[in-house]
Amino acid sequence: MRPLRIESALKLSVAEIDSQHQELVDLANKTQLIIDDGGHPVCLIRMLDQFNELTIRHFCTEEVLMQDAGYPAYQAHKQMHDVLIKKTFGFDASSLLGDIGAAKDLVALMREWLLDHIEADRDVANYLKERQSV
Amino acid sequence: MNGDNPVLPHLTVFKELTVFEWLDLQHRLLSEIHQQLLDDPEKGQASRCLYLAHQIQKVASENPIGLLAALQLNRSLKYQQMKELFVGVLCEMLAKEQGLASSARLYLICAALTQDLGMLELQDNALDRQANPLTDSQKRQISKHPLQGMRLLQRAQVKETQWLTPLEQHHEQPDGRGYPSGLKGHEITLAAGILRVADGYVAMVRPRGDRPALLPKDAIKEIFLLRSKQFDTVSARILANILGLYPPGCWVRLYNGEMGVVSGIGNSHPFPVVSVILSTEGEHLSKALPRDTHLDPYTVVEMVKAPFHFSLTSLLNQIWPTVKVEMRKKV
Repeated sequence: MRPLRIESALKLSVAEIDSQHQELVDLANKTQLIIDDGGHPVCLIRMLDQFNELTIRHFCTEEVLMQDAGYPAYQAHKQMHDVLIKKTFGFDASSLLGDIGAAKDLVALMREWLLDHIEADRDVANYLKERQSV
Repeated sequence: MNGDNPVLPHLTVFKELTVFEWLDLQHRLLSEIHQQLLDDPEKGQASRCLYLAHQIQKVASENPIGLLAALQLNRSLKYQQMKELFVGVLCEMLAKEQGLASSARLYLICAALTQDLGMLELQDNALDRQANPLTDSQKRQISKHPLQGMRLLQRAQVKETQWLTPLEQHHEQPDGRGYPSGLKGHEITLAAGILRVADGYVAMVRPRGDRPALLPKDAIKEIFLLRSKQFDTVSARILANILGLYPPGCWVRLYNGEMGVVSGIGNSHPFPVVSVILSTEGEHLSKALPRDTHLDPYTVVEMVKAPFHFSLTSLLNQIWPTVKVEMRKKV
């Protein structure tokens, strides 16, 4: 599977958020690499823990920014965050130890999660850029 | 003659206490303060409460992980005051991260220590063990307890708004559905929002009559999911950052089969240090061994219940630094 890459149009020009997106993408790519290289499954548990921890940090940073900027679709965006948090925190970490299918599910979840999330952030980026140019 | 007469000569001695002993000492002090505030409010309890808040602030700065671990590990049945000490410690840490001044944090700790003064009896005698839904009378008492607590403190000559306001507002919610006044958003002070998050977390990780305790990781997730409705978003995020997914004092099983207690932050966030007390074969170790959970064999696989060990207390006492306390002895 090809590694994920963030195209420049999806950058929000907010250093903290762009760097958190990059961290999330790196984690998803590293997880894929562990599977491709036949790495130890216990490494996947640590990837999941890091992903969960970063998810909370990232969503909070983004929501505070949206609220401060008066982003009109804040509630809908936050609801999407909630769905993603439930999915990643709900992932059964112990299943990663004995089931290669679970490992693939984890990568699929991370990739789908990121693509949906960063796509939705495109609207936030546009809104912020419009505000800056006014 | 009054035994507390300051003119009597005293000898100051220093004693090293384990974090558990220190916590027991503060628990006794807080129980006394609560009792006196109810029985004889004019007897200077406000200054004793501030003294206790100051001790908490000092130890939270010198030995934060040991303090959090001791609070997490405590399972005292009559835990009302232990719960309030836990909330006070979290308030100090959350407020410090958000840049509140030291003096404002002291009063916030006082608010945490006295938050349920207005329903102490109900809490001690019923709520913690009650499996049935709340009665109407209990609901009324609960909804009045912030104002009732404030009145009791005012009787004890507490006038500081930095103490009274967080106490009054600690059940208000950002969505306006809290009590007693239904305040919303920025109408709620930052300190009250911090107190609400700390209180919510401690309530969730403690067992209650109608439900078991949540795992810390699940409590952090629940609080975050309720952000901007029941809890302040930034405080919810900082709570997750301070405690991590495996907070100090939690029991965990490692990939190699060893079991231990989360005992330190570790060099690779979010992977803590775990002090192992049971070997891979279940052997009782004579000394807790630190493990870096960033490494493959020591990766945390799951949280577990406190394991049995022949000398658990002695092992736990040696994991975290001691607390130096000043004691005055009459001569």
